[in-house]
Amino acid sequence: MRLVSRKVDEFVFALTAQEKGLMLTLLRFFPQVPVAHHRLNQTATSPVARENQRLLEDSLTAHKADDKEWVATTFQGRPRFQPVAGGYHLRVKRAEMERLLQIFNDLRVGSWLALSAPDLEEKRKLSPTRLTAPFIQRMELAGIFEMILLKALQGPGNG
Amino acid sequence: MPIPADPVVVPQIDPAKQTDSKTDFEPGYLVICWNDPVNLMDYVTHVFQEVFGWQRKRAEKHMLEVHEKGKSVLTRESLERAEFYVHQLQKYNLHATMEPTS
Repeated sequence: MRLVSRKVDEFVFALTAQEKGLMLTLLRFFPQVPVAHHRLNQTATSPVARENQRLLEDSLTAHKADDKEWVATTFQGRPRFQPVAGGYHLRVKRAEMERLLQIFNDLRVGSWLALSAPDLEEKRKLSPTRLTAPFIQRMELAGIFEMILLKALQGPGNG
Repeated sequence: MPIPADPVVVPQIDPAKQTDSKTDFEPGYLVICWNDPVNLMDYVTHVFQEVFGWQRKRAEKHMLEVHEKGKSVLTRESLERAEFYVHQLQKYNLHATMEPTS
């Protein structure tokens, strides 16, 4: 996947058929991060703090449900990829870029959590097994899509 | 003939829900981002720019602080604003919390 053109409010990416398939397969696993993973603060245990935590989780649940619906309607419900020579073009609005970034990062962080949150700087700990290989693949793949989106957002001269 | 005044009804406020204006509206909460080994450095920088509207240089400074020191205090805010920022950062799946200053 590579950036083809970048306007003020629209980005166009070129993907091969294989990349398109990988993206759609990956997006089917969203969301991955449990909302209870996030804590409003580290220490507070008062009733008010518990209530605030509950409100945070409710809000994140609604946010992810909204994103899941968006993924379903945007990528799986209607044709979003325009066939071109050698593959497809994907058009993404500026606001959608943020949404896609959050979604890919959810897939990356959620896969990492499913792997018991390993230290990624010690790659040896990530030896794939039949059970862990799908999560390692999803985590790496989501990271690659994230980096492509980030590079496109930074644009020439802003990186 | 004097008209009897309506009885004054004092609202019942649950002490647990009572807001302390000093606590709620003063910038007494730190918004902290904690290090984790999974979020990409460029991603964290981008999120700081988006959420706080910072220039890239300032966002990178805080990202590096998170990476090298384990955490970075991003801002000091009122209860409501701190909750807002933590929520925004968590939408991006960053490990962020708010802690009282004292």
